[in-house]
Amino acid sequence: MKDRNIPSISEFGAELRNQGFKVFEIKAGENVVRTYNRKDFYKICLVTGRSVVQYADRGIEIDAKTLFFGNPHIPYSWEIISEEFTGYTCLFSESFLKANERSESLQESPLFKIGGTPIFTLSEEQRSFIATIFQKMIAEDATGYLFKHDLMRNYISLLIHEALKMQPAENFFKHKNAAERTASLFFDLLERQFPIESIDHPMQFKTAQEFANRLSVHVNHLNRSVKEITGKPTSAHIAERIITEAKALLIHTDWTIAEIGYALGFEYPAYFNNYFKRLTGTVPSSVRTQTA
Amino acid sequence: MRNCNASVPENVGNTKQKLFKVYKTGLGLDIQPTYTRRDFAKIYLITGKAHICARGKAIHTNEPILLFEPLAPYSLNEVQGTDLSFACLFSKDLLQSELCSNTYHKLMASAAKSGPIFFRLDNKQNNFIAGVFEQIILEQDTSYLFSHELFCNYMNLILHEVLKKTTANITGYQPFHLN
Repeated sequence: MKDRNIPSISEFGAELRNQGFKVFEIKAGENVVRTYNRKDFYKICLVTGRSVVQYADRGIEIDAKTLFFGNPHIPYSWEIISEEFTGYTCLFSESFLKANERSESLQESPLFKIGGTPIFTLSEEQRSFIATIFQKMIAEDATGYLFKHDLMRNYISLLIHEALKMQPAENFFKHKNAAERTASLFFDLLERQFPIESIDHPMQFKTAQEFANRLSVHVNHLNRSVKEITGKPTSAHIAERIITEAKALLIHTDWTIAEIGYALGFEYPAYFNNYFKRLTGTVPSSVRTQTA
Repeated sequence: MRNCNASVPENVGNTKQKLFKVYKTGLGLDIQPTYTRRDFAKIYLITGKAHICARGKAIHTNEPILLFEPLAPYSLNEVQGTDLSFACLFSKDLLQSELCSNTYHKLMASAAKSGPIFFRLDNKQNNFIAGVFEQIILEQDTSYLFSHELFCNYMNLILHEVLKKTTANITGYQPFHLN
């Protein structure tokens, strides 16, 4: 009975992969746990109902109307307690959002913060306002509008702004430990190297060792901390960030591919080509021609 | 009808500190006081009967239109006899910021001409855009740190709403000009 009206996982994933984006309504009685377990996408959920969220090393019980932001760096799970559990979910990939212009508020937002609290308790007024945004997104998603993705990014930004205007619900036990601090310093340092604005200032730190030196910690400690907090190795985070930046540079600049490679710390174009191909499955030039 | 909205000039003054300002009038709108602000692009939502002149040319309209007055040194003289209108000023800096410029240029490219540009709206669009302007009015006096980014997001919603019609090539909804 639970499987009724639900697209299969592969169908669902295919749509996400092709578009980088998906928005849908959670109806009462549907099995939504599966969707909450997807960890390779950012998500924003508006939910009504009781549940327990395990977020990083904390557990928080939520009751009533809640807005939740999930990102791929922080592990979390979701247990639904009440029968009546409804709301909306929006999922999107990192490259979907980053195709947009960089904005300070997004960097500051609960989506990107490590150690923040991305759970917001809403009043009825706030809930209905946010619900209308989701409804508009669903309505727009059904259209064939040429710049639909731009419009969707706008709606996502609106959701983020709504959250930024609120205070997070800090009603749970939070333990800030050394690992979390180290991980958050690492992400700060990683993010501070971007955006790359000119070829004269290539990326400085590219390996976990270089980051560790800069942060004055042992590389083992850095790796352990990042892995503990995010569940992924340091190198994976660095690689993901480099690829995101590479795609942005390929699309938004007229630098040659060799120059982009150099700016990202690759001495020879072939290194950059191989690296890009290994991580994305395509060569840099194909990203450029796709969008040209 | 001239200068019937006395509060416009002082509202406009606020844009010196701010990057944008939206105001609403139920009486009819005289654009004259605002047109010296060449560093601000303007958008007007005009509902109902209006009579718009610029450089001695005039347009009479009886349906909702959205009017863009870009940064170019070009000014409208007046709009008369409208039922409900919104006017929105936003600064050159904001317009050139990455957040806003993308969609704005797409829309302006569809018009392919400089100077004031008119877009006819259907009722649904009119209601939607009026709703967004109301929302901006609610937000603009709060002290929210990223209010200008939020404004750009709302602005983009309006631009996309118009762009949807122009990209779909629906006859009767293509942009038009005064001259």
